[in-house]
Amino acid sequence: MIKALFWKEWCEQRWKLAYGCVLLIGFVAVGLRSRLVQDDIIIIMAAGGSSVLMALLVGMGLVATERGEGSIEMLLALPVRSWKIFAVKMAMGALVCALPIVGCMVVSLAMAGGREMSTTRIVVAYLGCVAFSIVMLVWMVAFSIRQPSEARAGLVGIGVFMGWVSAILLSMLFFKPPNWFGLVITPLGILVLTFNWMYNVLEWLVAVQLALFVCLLLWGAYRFGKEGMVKV
Amino acid sequence: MSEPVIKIEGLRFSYGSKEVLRGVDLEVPAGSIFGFLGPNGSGKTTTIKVLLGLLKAGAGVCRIGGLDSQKDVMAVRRSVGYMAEDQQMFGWMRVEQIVRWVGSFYPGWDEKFVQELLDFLELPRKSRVKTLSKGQNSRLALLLALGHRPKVVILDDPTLGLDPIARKDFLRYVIGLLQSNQVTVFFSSHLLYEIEPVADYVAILKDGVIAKAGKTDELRQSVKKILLRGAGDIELGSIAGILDVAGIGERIALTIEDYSQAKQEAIEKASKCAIVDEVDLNLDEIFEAYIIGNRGQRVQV
Amino acid sequence: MEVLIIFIRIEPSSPVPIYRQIIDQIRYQIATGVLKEGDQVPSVRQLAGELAVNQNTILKVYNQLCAEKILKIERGSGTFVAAGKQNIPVAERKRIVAKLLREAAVQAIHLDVGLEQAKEQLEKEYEAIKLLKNKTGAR
Repeated sequence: MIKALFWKEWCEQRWKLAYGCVLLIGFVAVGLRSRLVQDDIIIIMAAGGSSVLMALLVGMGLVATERGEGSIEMLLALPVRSWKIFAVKMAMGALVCALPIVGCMVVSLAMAGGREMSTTRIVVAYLGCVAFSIVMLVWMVAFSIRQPSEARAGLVGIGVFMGWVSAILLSMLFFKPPNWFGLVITPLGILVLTFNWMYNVLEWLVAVQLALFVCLLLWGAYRFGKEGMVKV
Repeated sequence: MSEPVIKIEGLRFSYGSKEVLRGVDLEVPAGSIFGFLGPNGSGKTTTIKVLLGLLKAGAGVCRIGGLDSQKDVMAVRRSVGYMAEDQQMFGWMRVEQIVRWVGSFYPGWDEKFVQELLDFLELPRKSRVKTLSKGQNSRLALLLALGHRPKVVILDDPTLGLDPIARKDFLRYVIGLLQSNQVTVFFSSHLLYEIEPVADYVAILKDGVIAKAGKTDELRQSVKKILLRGAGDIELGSIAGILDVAGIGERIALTIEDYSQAKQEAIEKASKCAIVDEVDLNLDEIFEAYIIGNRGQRVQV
Repeated sequence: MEVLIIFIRIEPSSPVPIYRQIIDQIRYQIATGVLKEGDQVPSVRQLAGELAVNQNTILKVYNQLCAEKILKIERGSGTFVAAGKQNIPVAERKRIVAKLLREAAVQAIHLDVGLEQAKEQLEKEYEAIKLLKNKTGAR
């Protein structure tokens, strides 16, 4: 049963994996080869950009496509608990988000390891982005889980990201550095941490983000089996 | 009398503040074909979803084969065949892929039977689901519901959108494949004329409750239209089972259920009119009377 | 012996119950010689499948026709048209014809066809069909 669920998600998601790999690894390879800009700029752009891009791309298609096509009814009527279906979708989604980023990491290490950035810094940058990507995926899916179409889900994803940016900007108005409130509450803090600023928010950040992550995952699983919103 | 295979008692359900089911009571005898009727939006699909554990009942009990629909959800789904209204399946999968895929969820999946069914229902194994015609789509959905040889099959408006030939063929499959094997079939529709040839029992859902339930042929016999010739005011409150009252010229037409000799006398007495004619009704008329009949108590001639 | 295909048309919008429609049509076919003594009719399952009608309804039809000695079931072989002439009671026969004639009369009056003309036409039809029946009967 679970195997069958994984197989289905794999068949549906694998094109995104291929697309992500080609696009992102291509970008990194060309960027590092041409040396038009500093390595760390390429790597920050690649890692940061790819994590947001992959999360949006994957998040749009995870649940909302099925709602849009109507096949979710059939899925939910099977003799399988809906949270299991959700878990498999999220696992495969996380994999598809992570692998292109890891691929970029491997290529970056091969091409520029120790050149301008140390291998450790490269690895930390990319792995941090993998974590960020998965967290963004979960936030996006949790909030768009009843959306009736991919487009709407995509909008929710963009909305979530913009919401984070706004939260940070607002918190900058009220809190002086180093404890920007917005940074801890939003997963963007993970990115900031990864690219090496503000280590002193570390414990707070990890605790809050982990808690939010788990809550949203459970909330998503709970609402997955409920009726979707009607398209207006 | 053996235990009914499906039993619904006092089912209530609301979508937010809108109460859709207000105490539905239903019993489906084993091995029968049961037609579940009602106008669009009356709550047929909602009832079926509650039976499958897809929605949570507000109040009431649903049992299928002794299992509780709300508590033993997985067990119910394993033992019941279900076809959703206008069932959309995974367009990218090929027919043989989706059949195998669904089969992996049911321990009782009969592979040999499924292969025979694929041929019998003329489904192209290699075609992708998105290329199937509506008729083929319906037949595939039916196959997926039958693959694990359930004893109870629940079909939600299975002939929706099919052309008349495909509709008849579908009903033939239901009779041939299911009735022959003593499978209990519960299917919903809003077309009474389509259900009547096929169903042993019928239940009509109106305003969230069952307005009428019983054997199909008895339905025809028990509902009649009576024409009265009369004058003055007629008080009909004492007569039970009036479905519709209409004035036609100087006649009054009463549509009544459970018509009997006693009722005939009661009507003549209450109205002080002679009964001029007794008309048999066709099923659309019977359905209309139940759903939109004017149940007025006083009539002026 | 091959099983005959019975051509039965069910009218869903008719107020006549389905089993009655089938019974009437089978009787009619036997009465007019389309179905002859000894012909095998389809099994309950076959007829149910053909007409897309509930098997219990067909069973009811066959049971009633057997009770009226119009059909007979031979265990192991099938169901056959019984021996003996038309077994429709006279009153029933008259009723069927009366209904048809009433419809014809309504049309004739609408279309201004006089009674004499209608009678003439009716005689012609009788002759034509008798001719046909004798032909098929002689087979």
